[in-house]
Amino acid sequence: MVGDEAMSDDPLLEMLVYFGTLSMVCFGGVLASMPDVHRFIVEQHHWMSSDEFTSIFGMANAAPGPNMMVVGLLGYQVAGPLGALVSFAAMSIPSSVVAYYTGGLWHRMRNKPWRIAVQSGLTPLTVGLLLASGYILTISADSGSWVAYAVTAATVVVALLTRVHPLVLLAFGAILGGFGWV
Amino acid sequence: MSSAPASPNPPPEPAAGPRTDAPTCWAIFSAFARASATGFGGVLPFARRVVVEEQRWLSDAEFADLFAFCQFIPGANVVNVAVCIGSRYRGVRGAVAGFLGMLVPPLIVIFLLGMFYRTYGDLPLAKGIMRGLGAAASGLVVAVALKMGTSFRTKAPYLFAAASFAAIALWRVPLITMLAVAAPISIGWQWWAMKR
Repeated sequence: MVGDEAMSDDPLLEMLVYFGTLSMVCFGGVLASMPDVHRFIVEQHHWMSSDEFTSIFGMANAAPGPNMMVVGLLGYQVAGPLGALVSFAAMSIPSSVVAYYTGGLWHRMRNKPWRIAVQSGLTPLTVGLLLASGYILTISADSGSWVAYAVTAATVVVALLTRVHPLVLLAFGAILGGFGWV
Repeated sequence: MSSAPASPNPPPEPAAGPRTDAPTCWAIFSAFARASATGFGGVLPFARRVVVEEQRWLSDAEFADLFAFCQFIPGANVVNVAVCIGSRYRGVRGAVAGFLGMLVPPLIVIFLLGMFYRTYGDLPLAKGIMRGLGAAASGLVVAVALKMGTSFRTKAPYLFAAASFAAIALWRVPLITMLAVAAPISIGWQWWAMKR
């Protein structure tokens, strides 16, 4: 048996348990769970600053791959390559097992009223979670400069009103940041 | 020592689907690996192109229905899509092939970016670029939320969305607590509204 002290001090074990649990409850996807991940990594464990958290989130968005890459990158920053592997596996395996076993059930139930009630009941909560994600990530940036807020606001408006590819907006932010203006 | 199993576990058939010329596990792996490795700014459109247009594994409507399901269950949506499609054709092994295809390329990218960030993350140029990326990426998340929010037809969902935002962003309630309290209320309300 591992003692309590050893358990609570090992970031790998902490991340394994945390992301393994989150994987089963992160309705609304990985983006919607960012406030809780921020709470765990920054507020509870102080493994990195808020500013680093938002930077790593930005880096993950600019890279090819699913949204959940941010979890692996955060794990890397906390505990190196093994940290990346542990957090990434813990976040992806439990939910995939759920997907495997419930896929057929869902298909057969597609016209059942309870399925529609569950689905449309969870959507508003997801919307709130995503807004909370955007809010936490925005106020986390160290600089808190008006340019950073302006970039965020402009991205919201352009993404809502046009069909510009998200990468164009990210590139725009990266260029302004590269010049040291953000 | 056990020899190679003569009969693999008969995999459960999670979903009915056309099984004529079912793709091999390798085909499943490589299709999703391609979608994942090229999926800049969100893998979903890339996965849809590979699954619907290139491989013709699903029709557009089937893909939309599957994606709705994968958004609804917890976890990364596109990973769930890969698992469901893989299992539809090749059972457990297909599901594993889809899972690995979707996640191995990003894992390699994570190792490279992680090393990069540890080495150069403190340089002013890198710091600035990532700050800019972070600001834009935050805006993209807000835009997704607002797009979803415009689909509500009644007022109550806005109230639930606002409560969920306040609980998580302002009061910093753990996600699991918020869901345990708010999900039954919101789902119950929908149920009641549908019955009326």
